[in-house]
Amino acid sequence: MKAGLISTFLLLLLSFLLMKCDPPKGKVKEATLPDSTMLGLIDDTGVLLVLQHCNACHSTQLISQNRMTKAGWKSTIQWMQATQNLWDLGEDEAIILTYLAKNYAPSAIGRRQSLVVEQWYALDEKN
Amino acid sequence: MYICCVSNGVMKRRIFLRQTGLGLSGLLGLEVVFASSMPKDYIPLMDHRQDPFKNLNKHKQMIVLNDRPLNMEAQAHLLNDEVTPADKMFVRNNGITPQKIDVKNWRLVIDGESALNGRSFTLDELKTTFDSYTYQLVLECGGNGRSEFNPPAKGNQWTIGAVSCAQWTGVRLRDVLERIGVKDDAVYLAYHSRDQHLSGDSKKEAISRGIPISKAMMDETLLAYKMNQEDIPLIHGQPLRLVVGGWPASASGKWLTQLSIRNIVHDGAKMGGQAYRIPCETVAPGTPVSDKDMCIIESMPVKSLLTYPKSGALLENQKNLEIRGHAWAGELAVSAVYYSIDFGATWDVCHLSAPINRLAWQHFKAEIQFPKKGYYEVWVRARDQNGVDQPMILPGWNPKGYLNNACHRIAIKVV
Repeated sequence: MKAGLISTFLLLLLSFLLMKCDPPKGKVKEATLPDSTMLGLIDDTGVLLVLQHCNACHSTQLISQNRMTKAGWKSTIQWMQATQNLWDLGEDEAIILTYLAKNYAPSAIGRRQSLVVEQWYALDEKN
Repeated sequence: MYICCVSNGVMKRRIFLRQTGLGLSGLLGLEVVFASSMPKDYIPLMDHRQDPFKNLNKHKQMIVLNDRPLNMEAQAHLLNDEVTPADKMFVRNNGITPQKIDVKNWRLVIDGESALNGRSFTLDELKTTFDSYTYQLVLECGGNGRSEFNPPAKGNQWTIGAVSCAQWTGVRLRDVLERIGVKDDAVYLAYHSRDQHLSGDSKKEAISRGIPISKAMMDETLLAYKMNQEDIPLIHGQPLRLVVGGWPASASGKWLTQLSIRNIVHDGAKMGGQAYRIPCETVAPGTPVSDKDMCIIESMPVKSLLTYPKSGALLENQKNLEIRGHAWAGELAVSAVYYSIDFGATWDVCHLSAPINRLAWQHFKAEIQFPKKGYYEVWVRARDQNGVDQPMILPGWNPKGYLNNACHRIAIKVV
């Protein structure tokens, strides 16, 4: 019981200290995640740099739900550097931009798309 | 949350304490676990994934767009209630949300260049000094519908579910401001909140927006402490929230700690640049717009949502169907709602209820007779009190993808 409380305290302290996101110190090494999902990002050259620089402060879902050209992603990075404390990405920036522009590029969707129904169901009016 | 330690392609998934500038190991008298086996140029990958539904009491069909910061929307059929319950209310956050609120020692500071007698209030002082009022108020995210814009707009890709109409109880902001005294040069009412900037930088605010003094002085603009007759849930702004019906929900600051009566248009976080702004003059899709040509969004436009039935209904042995939903129009009332089952070629009128109070959404329903078997789309279109309708296709493109009020559609098959 007591040990449980102490470890809970340590975990809380740990998560508090980790709430402040920091730039990577030193050059990023090739690395792999605990599973092969890349936290939901497409597995391609540069994905680990994206994880280490971007996922420090925000979820990968903020990346994967967006679609931008290279110029759009660059302006987003510049906005984060100007207002969100994002650090200088150095030589990683070019690799990250290439990754994002290739894997999360806009597609022409027109002014209104067809409706998508995930699952048709029989309507029971008694409900 | 866990940290994944990896080097040389070999996975070693462990929890460990990271050495920090604060001298964490010295502080705790603990060794940094596995520190000796970390290469010098090693950088830990962090996996922050948590179950966003844990401790939140949200309906399991709510859609998580982003788990850090937490952003979650409803689906159309979840919003069928006349008054939106807490478990079906969208969540929009810009920063790190407070984990716990000390309600007893909470204070709201009111100051600013245009405040005559700035002071602070405890929650009890607010409740006992001023009369309380209750209104149903529509809160819709300015970016609701962003996912449809082309070229795509950046940000959380909301579909249709970042809207709610809950019942809010609190004191009138006007009563509080009049007690403080507002100088003649007052322009804007700004809020400051307890949430933290996403970077953890304590000198930065996640969001600090506000409203013009004229909107602050309206009857329905509340400093709310209850939502649906209960204390406001933590994620929705406990213990005190500015509630500004009909305007982008970002004006309704959560976890209020401070209000400032400003003699300028407030210049806090997410007031400037392109945030919650649209081009002052309309532009062709994809046009870059400089910050100086972007204007602040005020009232939200007319809009409606079909909440019954859920899209994808198969009608077997029946050709009639009752549809239901809500319509709202920002600062205005809705004067009519129409539906079409032939892709907008012809329209019929829906029954529309009056709003329970100004800035509440209104409920519509209609009984549809389908002429024969086939695939149908039911479209609804609301009209505001000035005769302005919702568009059938996307309204004017804007860089940040705000104000998509195109008509809502559901798919039906008569089989």
